[in-house]
Amino acid sequence: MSAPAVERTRTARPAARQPIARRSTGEPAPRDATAAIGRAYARRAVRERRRSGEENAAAAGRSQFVLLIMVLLGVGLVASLWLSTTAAADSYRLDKARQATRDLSERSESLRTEIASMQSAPALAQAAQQMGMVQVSDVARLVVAPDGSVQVVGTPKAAVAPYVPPPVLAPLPGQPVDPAQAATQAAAQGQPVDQGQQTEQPANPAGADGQPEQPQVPAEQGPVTQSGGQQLGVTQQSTAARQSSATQQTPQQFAASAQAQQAQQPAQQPSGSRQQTAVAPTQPTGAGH
Amino acid sequence: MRTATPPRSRPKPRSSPPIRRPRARAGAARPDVNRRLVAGRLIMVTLLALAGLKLVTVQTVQSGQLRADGDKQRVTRLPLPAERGSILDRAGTPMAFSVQAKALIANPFLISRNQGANAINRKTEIAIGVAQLTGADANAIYANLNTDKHYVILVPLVEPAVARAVIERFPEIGQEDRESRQYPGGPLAANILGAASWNMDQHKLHGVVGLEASQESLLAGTDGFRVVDTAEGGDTVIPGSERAERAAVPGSSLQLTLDSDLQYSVQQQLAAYVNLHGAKDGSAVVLDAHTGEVRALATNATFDPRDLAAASANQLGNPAVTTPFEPGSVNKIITMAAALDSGLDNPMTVKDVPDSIKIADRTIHDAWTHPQQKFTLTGILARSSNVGTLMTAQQIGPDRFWTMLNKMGLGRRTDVGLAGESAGRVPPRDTWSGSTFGNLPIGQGLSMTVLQLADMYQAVANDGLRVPPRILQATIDADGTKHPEARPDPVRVVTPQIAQQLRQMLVAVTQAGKGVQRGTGVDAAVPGYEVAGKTGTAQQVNPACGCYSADKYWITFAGMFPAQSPRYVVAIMLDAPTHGQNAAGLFHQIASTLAQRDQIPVDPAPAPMVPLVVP
Repeated sequence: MSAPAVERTRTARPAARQPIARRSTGEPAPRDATAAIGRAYARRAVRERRRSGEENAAAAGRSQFVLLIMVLLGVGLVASLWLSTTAAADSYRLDKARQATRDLSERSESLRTEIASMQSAPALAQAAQQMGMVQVSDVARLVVAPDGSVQVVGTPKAAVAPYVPPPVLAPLPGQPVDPAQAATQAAAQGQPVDQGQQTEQPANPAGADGQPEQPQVPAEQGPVTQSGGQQLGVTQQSTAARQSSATQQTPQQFAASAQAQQAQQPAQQPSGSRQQTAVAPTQPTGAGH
Repeated sequence: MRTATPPRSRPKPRSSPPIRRPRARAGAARPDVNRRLVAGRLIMVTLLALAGLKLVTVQTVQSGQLRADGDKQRVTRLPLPAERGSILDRAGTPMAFSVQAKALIANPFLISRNQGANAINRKTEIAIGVAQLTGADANAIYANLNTDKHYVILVPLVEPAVARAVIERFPEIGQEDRESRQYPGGPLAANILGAASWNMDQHKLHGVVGLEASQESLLAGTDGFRVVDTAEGGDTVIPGSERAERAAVPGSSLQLTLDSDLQYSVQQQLAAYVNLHGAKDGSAVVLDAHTGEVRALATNATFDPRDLAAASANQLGNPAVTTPFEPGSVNKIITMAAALDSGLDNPMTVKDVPDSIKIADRTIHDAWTHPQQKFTLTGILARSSNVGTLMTAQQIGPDRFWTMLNKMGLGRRTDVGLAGESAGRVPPRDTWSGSTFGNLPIGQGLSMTVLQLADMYQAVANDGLRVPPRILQATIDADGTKHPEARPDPVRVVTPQIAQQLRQMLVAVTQAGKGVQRGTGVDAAVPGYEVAGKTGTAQQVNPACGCYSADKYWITFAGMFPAQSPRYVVAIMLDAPTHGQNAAGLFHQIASTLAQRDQIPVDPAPAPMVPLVVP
């Protein structure tokens, strides 16, 4: 559309320039003035007629062009507004997504840390000990000969917890060792308890009666057989873990009182005695694992 | 003309006065204008030239300085920290790894100034709030806040989410990036792994002891950087202003040959045994019999790398590789190997052994008094007769003994891959005096680490082929590529037949015969298995008199299990136990654990009794 418009303005220009050119060249005045004037008026009328027609066409073309530009600008403005609004809205979403990603990755990292510490050998050993399991040192094994006869290798006997409490025991994360728990653990040494017993009395931790000198009750169950010449640790069972609940009162009470003390601490005036304002363990200590 | 109606515009240009007037004036003032023009042009040209000159100066001569000044105001080089590599055990269980963390910092001076009289209350409020959110000690936080410093670290390591919560609640508190080193096993293998702590100057984790320190360059990786424009006086990055960026190269991970479960039980058993027997110290090592890989390496004095400040200096070391000791009778294996290798003796060679023997100017007795007895070579080893061993050594001569001692790798570092390894001390051959050869065959007058001791017995276990022990299995790049460590060259010590004979002789050490047919290491026996091993007791040097002490001993045991096709080699050293001069019981515990763990097949046939003393 722009090409014709340019052409038209070009054709209009010489018509406008003509009189100027004549003015400069036509110095001598025409002799027959009246006739000349008449001719001039006639020319002028023609010229004006022609120009008005051209100008009308040119104006129509120009206005179309201007309209087009305006529409384009308008559309552009709206589009850019819309885009920037969307971008702003998206940036909020992006921000939210980033935040969610960060939170999730932090969570996964902390979970991974937790898993790593829970599955580490000391933590597993401690968990097993809290369930009342003890390390077995010597096991009797059954060897099944091809003819079906069974030979016992070794002497079946009850597993005994080590005489000395394991000194390099790592505390489980989030389970600060407190005196009550330590006392219970110390009491747990030298007290054989098997898993079957544990399921019967889940609230009774290993030897929490504080009587480590309790004599061992001999094993009442023989070795476990496995076919194919494979060996398996002998499961021991003892009745020593059947304790009267009365003997358990002492450590439980101790743990409860310790807990109560810790729970009271944060409520106290902080600027006063501030020695125990750290977060108190939320789970029961000592008894009842 | 004037009556006509043509447009006025036309005659106007014809009127001459406006044209004429300037012409007349111009004619009069022309020289002045010209002068002005010339002067103006000159000024313009001069200015232009000056501007051009300045432009050239600024663009070329001063450009470097100006750019540097500008950069100093805008451009910031932000470090991109490289994540430290993990340390894994042989199964890939992480033993040490890093997680992102934050440090909570504050400016107590500014808080005091801003809060004025209310400062105490505000600080109390902050201390309690932070303690609640982080689980840290409120007293310590309060003490930190109650100073006039401009920078205090309130809580050194908190999780990023917790740090954000704290900052949201207390805008006075800031956070800094940290990398928290996690040791999920705590004291598990701590003497090997060592510990890494945050270095404030380098602003990154730095290994302090153990593998963390010795493998620092491998674990640390290379920090990257990002050059960006930042807002004046702040660290706010102007978007799209990155000029250069080099990504951080994360550190490689280290895979060890350790078995963390075995390491744990060995560490526990050793610690319990050392306590039980009142020993000053103790070390134990478990090697894979065929590859020489270290499966467990424990020392009694250990620490928790999560609480490095609480550790004392002697707990941080790794005496199993750094501290040599005199081995005692476990060293008799060298004499026996040399004797069998020479072809002069076989396990059943009978020797008439008296109670004492005189070597040079010294008389050496057996550990117990006995009449002159006919010992087999196996009996000399199983009953640990000093006199019989020295008779055998005299028979083969010092050169054969020296060759065997070198083949066993004594006096040289094993290059296990741990820092500060000791080579032990073996007197060089040319410095031997007459009595030296009366000491070395029975394991006095030379020293070795418990790792070298295990290495020696590994040669016997591996059919005479000694593979130097290694603790690094592979390095793993950040992209997961595994680069196995180079395997050491094995050393042929004795032939497989002689190694087999030596194992048989070592089995006799654990044989539970009656009277003189009883070996010295009966406690090491595991029911259902044949166990080969050797007890050792070496007198410690008393620094007061420079002589051998009469009541302080190094108690050693080295053995392999199961004897016929060994899988593991175990070496144990106890430093000056007060009661129970025998480490065979600990070997028994470790071997029993190994048998259950690996489900090693039982050999139901009882081991044949070997005559130790013949009539």
